[in-house]
Amino acid sequence: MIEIEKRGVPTVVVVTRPFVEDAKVTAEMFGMPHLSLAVLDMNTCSNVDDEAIYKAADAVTSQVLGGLLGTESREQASARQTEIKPQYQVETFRGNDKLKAWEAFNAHFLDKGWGDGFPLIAPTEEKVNEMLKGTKRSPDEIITVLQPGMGLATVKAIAINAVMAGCQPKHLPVLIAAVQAMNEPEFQLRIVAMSTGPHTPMLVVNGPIAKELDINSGRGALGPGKESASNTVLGRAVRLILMNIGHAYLNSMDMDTLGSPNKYSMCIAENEKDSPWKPYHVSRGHTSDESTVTVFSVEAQFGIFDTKNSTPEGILTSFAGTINSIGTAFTRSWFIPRRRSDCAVLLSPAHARAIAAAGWDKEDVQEYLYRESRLPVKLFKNTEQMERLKPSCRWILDAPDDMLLPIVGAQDWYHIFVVGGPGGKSSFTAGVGRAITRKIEA
Amino acid sequence: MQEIAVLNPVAQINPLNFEPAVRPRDLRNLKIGLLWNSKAGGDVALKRIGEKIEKEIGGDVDIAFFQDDHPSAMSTLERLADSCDAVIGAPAD
Repeated sequence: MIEIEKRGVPTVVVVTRPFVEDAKVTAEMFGMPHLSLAVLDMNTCSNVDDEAIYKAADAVTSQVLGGLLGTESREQASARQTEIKPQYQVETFRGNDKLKAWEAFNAHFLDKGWGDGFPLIAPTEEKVNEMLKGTKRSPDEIITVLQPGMGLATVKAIAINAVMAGCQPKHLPVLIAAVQAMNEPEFQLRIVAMSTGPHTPMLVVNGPIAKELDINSGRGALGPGKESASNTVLGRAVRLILMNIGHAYLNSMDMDTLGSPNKYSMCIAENEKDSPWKPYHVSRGHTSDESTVTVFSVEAQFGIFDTKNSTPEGILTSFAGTINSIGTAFTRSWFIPRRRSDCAVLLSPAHARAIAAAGWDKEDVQEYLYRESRLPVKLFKNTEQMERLKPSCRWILDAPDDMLLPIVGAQDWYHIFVVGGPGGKSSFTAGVGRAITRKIEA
Repeated sequence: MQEIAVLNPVAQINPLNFEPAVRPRDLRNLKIGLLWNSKAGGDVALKRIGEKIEKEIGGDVDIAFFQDDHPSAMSTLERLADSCDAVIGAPAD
């Protein structure tokens, strides 16, 4: 709507009550704090009958008219953007001893919404300066202006949040690369960060740095424990960065309906040692001695349990039958405009070896999943996405109910990794947007 | 008494700052676009508001309905800006 106002056309934004704060904050972030709002007195317009919507709409018509009409004429001003010099405020906390002072810091940060609910490491000047030794970059270098809140992601701002998460200096280059990757337009960070769904970034690290940083790629890689200590703090730092630099705070920009434990931290490394195939980043054009981080958005995560089968078809049939779920956003994105949903297929080494033993490579896995993981048209017709079909897919409305459709737009939406410990238990994640791979540099 | 000094983790924002568009004194004989983001129920709300405005102004207003996904394509926004005198949007859930 701001884009329309910028072009000299008055607008009014109609929102429901829970989205008022989100609308105001977003309007301010994108340069138009005076954007006219009309507030429908209801929670959402979904899952309610039309009569309820009519009643709320009738009540805001005068608000809408008020937002569209004016009494003064004034000259159109052009956009202004001031050059901002990075500044870092200092907050001081006191107590009878250092521990009490630290508790006061944690209580304050939690109260302000700057933490994730777990105790934070205090980002003292000393700790942050130590963290900054993890990179050759200058502290005030602006890595990017981070969506959705257009926060200045300087190296130092990233370092502050990295300290809070419990990271060490050696983790900083991974975080810098992850921030760059997330802010690429095709990752669709605004949707990931602001959705009413539980979308969250997941980092997958490849290359020598995974071992240098002890990023767990084996048993329990996606879970807690000392083996995953680096995984935990890296994923946690990403969440704090999204909040405090991207300004994706719950209830103001992050409108997640239910939330997810995945939002605390999601970071793994590929188990290159136990993989029968070349590493993921090599298949993306990097050399094996380069290190990369690939960022996926994760809305849905499935466990695939198959300890019986030893053929590719058997194992991947278990996969295909698990992931074809109509209740997730990713299965309904390929036929709506400008959407892509990249998925991470996290094969356990046992599954990967069994598949590779039959002479299959990663492309064969992609092709099988694309062919076999399908849902009937009847289920798609039951979803709201039928209102949003791109023109080339409108034929779906007239297709027979029992016709099977793929759940992704192309086989390369499936990205194959080998992760985990021994056993026939794999995993699968999917979200919105394209997975972005970025080289990690000091 | 002991104290610790920490750095604030919240990044400065670098927003642009735009003036809002000039508002007309009257909507008569103007074209009002309704932009729906395809989320459930938004079209119902917008169309109802459009009908109420038409009734209020006595029919001397052109109400046009537009649908796009979320976020809207720039081409859609440009089309609305080019063809409408005012726009009412439903961009959330």
